[in-house]
Amino acid sequence: MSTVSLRVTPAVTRRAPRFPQLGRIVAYTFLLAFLLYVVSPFVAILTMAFGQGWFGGRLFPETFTLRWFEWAVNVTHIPQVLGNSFLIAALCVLISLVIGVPTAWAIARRRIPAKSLLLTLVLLPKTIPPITFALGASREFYALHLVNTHIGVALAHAVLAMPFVVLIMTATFEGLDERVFEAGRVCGGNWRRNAVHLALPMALPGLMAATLFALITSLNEFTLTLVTYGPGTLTLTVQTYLAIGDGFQEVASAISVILLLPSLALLVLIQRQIRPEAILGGVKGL
Amino acid sequence: MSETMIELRGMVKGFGDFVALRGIDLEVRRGELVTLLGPSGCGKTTALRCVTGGLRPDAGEVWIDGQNVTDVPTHRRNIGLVFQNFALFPHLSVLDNVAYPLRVRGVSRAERHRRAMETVTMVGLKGLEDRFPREMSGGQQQRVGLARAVVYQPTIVLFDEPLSNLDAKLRLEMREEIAALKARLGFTAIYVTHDQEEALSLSDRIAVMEGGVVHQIGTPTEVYTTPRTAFVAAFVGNPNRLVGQCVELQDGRATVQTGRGRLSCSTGANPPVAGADAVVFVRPEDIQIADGAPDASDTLLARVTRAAFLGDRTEYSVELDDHTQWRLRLEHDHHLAMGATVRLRVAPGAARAFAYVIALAEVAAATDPDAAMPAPAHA
Repeated sequence: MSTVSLRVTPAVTRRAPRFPQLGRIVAYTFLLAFLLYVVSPFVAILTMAFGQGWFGGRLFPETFTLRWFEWAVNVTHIPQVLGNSFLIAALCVLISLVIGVPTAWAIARRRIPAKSLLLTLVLLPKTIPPITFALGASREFYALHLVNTHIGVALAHAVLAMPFVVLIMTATFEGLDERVFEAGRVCGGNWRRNAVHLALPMALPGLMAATLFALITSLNEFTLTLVTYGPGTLTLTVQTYLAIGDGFQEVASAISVILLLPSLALLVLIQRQIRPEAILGGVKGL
Repeated sequence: MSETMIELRGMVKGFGDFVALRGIDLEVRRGELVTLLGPSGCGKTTALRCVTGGLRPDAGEVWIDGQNVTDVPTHRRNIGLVFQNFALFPHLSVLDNVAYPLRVRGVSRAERHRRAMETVTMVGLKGLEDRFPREMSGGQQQRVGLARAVVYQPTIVLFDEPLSNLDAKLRLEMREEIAALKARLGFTAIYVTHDQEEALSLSDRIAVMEGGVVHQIGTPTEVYTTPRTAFVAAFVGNPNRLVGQCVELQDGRATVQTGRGRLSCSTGANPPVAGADAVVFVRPEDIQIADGAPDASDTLLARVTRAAFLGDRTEYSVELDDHTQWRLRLEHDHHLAMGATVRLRVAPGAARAFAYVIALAEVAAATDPDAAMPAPAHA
């Protein structure tokens, strides 16, 4: 052991860098700049949501208060709006999964002609400007009486959420070993049993990720909501926009903070849960 | 005991332009282990997958236990299958993997726990039943695969190159394990492998396959000592080859004139006809040292080029007059010096001759392309 290290040591002598600290300083500067760039809007929103009398060049507001949240609840009916947002998001997830999962299975596990073309088509709603898409969608929705219905807004959101589901699930299904399913058949399981006991738990990490992405997409969607919402289906993003339009910057900030919470919670969940081994460990008792 | 358990009748299967099976007939009797042996692409795995139901033959039938199962789906065939890549369920523990066949058969939780545990113990994995496949070595994973294949006591267990993903030492160990398990449970088995040693040591009978046809079905001894075709001779046992001219074919025995003398050879299918070229196969252990004997017509002169100590024996490489390389295995009481010239004799009845024209392609299929076949002397 020691003879080996003795022989190796002289071979790895390096030329000493001329400015030993320079690389580190540059790296930290960039990191700091990036943090400022990403974090400062959030700081501004938080300050506005909780502060009163934050004018001109003041570094801090005069006082901190919760009244903007009170206004948000009482004047802009946030509980009801929050309910709308989550109901629409849940519907959107459901629609995206019901259509997206079988589509992904077909793309990943079946021999399909023009597979890449199909994937491009799935991505189309994400590549064209949402406002363009919204224009067309709104016309159809009026014709179909889908405006001001939860299902209508959810359908519009699903168009943007579905590509995530299809992409994530295609990758997930492609990663499943066909021979494991053959093993399931040889063991005596018909396709339904194998789907429930084998395919589903093995695809669970992907399903979780797809669900979370669809959920966030719907909660944060603005453009399509704007042309499909009605008084009964107001969502958090649109309410924030309306509050700004009415000149209530502080109330808009308060709503934004509320709007941030689910996204942040989901972000933490993604960080913790989307590692496949964590999920697989979680279904131990299945 | 001669009751037929699995029967393949005239099975044909093609993939596009490639014909994987060209009419296979095979009978496996109850309690028998039959190996499908052959190089990759010979159709052995295709044949096995027709038995599992993973593939449907283009023509022909699969019969299991007196029933035509050609159109019965896999999950109702009641067979066990051990996979080359293990194919364990990654999200299930060892115990749950083994219990899965019982679970789909509606066995109660307590009962399947008991039986899975019993089987896990049988394959020597007691104490590891709560592990997950990814936490185990390849050998352990294949034991789980073995346990899962036999836990519901199927009458038929199929093996698809189960040892080829394991290292040499483990292969030997698992071979014993499979033999012990079969002796204990008494299932009928089809075993697919390209490893002749595995086939010879495990099988009751071997079906040697090449190019989608079965060349020979027989006991390991039959296949080894009396290969029916040049392919079987070349693929099983890696014998020495010699090219000569057949001078006489009578009562199934051929007399072949070689550069140094005449050899009396047994024949199989495609015997050489008188006047035509012949390939003669001789196994390394059937070559004897004939030093001190008079310059008889049936001896060959050779020069020793290499010695490899094998433990119980030594394998020598020698070069014949016509530059043919031969290998021979000798007990340690014979010691040959490097570069020495020795006189060799082929053990009586050990040489086997085939027609050169047919053997040429078959030997190429059985060996790697670099080991070129010697051309006839006049060519």
